[in-house]
Amino acid sequence: MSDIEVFQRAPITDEVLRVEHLKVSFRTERGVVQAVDDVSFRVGRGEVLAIVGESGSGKSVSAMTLMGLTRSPNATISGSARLADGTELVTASDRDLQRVRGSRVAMIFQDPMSALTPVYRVGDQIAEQIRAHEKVSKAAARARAVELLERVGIPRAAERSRAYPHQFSGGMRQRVMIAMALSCSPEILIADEPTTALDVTIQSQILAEIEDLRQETGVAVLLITHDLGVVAEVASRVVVMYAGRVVEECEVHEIFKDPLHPYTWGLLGSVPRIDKVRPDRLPTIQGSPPSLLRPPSGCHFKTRCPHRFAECDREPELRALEPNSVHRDRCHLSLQDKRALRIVDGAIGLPIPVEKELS
Amino acid sequence: MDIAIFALKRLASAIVVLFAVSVLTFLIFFAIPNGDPALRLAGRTATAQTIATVRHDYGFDRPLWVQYGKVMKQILDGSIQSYTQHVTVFSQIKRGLPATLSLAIGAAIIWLIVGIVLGVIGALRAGKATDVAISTFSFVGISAPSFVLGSILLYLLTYKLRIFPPGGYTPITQNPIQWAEHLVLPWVTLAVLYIGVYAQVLRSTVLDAMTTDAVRTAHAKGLSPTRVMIKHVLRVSLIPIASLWGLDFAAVLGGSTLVVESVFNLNGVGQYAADSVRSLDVPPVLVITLLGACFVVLMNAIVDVLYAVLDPRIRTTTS
Repeated sequence: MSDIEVFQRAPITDEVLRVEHLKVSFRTERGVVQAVDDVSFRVGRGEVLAIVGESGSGKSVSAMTLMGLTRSPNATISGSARLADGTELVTASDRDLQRVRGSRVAMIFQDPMSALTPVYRVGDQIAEQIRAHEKVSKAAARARAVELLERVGIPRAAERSRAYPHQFSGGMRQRVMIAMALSCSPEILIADEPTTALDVTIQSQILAEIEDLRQETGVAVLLITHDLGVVAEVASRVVVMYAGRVVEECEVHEIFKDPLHPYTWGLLGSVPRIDKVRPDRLPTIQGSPPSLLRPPSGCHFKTRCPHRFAECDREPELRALEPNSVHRDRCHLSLQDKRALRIVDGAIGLPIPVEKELS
Repeated sequence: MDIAIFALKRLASAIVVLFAVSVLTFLIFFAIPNGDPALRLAGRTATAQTIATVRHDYGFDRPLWVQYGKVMKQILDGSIQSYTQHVTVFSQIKRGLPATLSLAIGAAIIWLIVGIVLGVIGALRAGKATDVAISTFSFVGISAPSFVLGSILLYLLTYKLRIFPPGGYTPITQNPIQWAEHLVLPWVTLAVLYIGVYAQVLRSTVLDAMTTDAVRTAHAKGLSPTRVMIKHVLRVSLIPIASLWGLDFAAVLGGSTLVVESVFNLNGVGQYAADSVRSLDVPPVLVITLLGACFVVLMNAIVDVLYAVLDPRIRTTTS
């Protein structure tokens, strides 16, 4: 089944980004690392698509590739990533890409403490981006920077715009980053682990801010995260990545109600729940992610999957198990097996320690 | 208020440093064998009686701390005289200063500019042939002693190819072209070492800066690569270079010109110091050392201020 066919069935009518068969590999001294292996997804106008996965799953590399930030002499990038008007990001010239960055696709990063240049005032750093894309005077760009800072909830914005990054707290710096990202009214905001480096209380404030701005401006958000709590809070759809591949894709409620891939179950099982008795040890997925230098043949998750069987040596396709469903996963288990296997102790997720064997 | 305290602390530590330098320099000459100044002042054929008279007249038979106090008083009121030539030390220094300043300032400007250019090219071409060539040149420059390099240049370009005039100094006020012609080789000789150091330091700070999150943000903003390089990479990488430059300039003016001046016979302050050391003439050495130390202390303070100007993070922690 081709991906195109699935796209046609999907409910998204108005998409701002379509990524198809994106592959990113890096030549290293130890061999070729296939960081992103045939990834396809779409982002609809005004929606929040979450890409979930652990470190090394390729989620950040995918996002950075959209911005052209992974381009380097030892990187090989293929596939396609098109904006609504057909602008192709993968093959765009550096110059064309430069025009897209910051103006049509903007990005905020994980660590706001280091994401700004320390020697310039924050207002000037925002103004710099505005002036990179629009012919406006320095004064006008600065005035707009102040408005933006106000909009992302920075008190005394006019005064604070003249402060330097180190004079802001982490949460406030992330607000500055958001203001900067939205300064040229982009179609897509890529948020790469935007709350990971922040305190828990600040995390939800920043998420709420992103959500407010999404509603206000209609910007689509591509949210990269490993935190399912964050997903539950703001995402409308979810793509789960593992070892460079998409292993599951669905609407956000389905990932919690009806997760289909054993890796997703593991992720869900390792989230502490306040509605359950807390176990002595939080369940974990056994082992560690495979080396992307030489990933296992067939299913990439098979080495850690407690439910693996002979079929897993053959590469599973990303497919929908029910007709007309937008819920797809990459696993050979049947729907019935999945629904029986994933229940452990009355909850979804893997038991501790993993000792389940099948077939 | 904080700034006042900071300035006072700096001043106090400067006085301590200068005092220590003066005492050490003073004492070294009494530790040197045959260092007795009375022997030299009395002349070759002096009788024991003459020597004793000289010793008494100059106060060399008084306790060391009294002698030290007398010398320091003479330094401060400017009346101190050389033991070998009967002229005041300050008039000699004043005579040599234009040559020394021309040499040091010119070399400092050359090594700063060339060092930055080579460092940036090295970083942009990291791993390629250009980078390897610059690194090789840097390490040769760093390892070549200036008297060897200066002699080679002097031999090849002056005596063999006759491109540059032989040593000596022409004041810039007298003939700017001859001034420059005489200084090209000394400048190069003095600058090569620092060019090598600066190129290597800047190469690595630029390479580090290029991979920071802030520079990734700058790219993500849609800035041109040139703008990212100049405004976000170089601007940050040059902060350590600026302070290095201030301190190196002070070190050069405080002593490193000595060898180069001697090789090229520039008759500057450094050469005066070298001659004075050779004849164990304490007063000029003491004065020149103290002036050098003063200058190093002053440049240190300037560098601190410069640092605060260039890096807003320092500004808020000190004020």
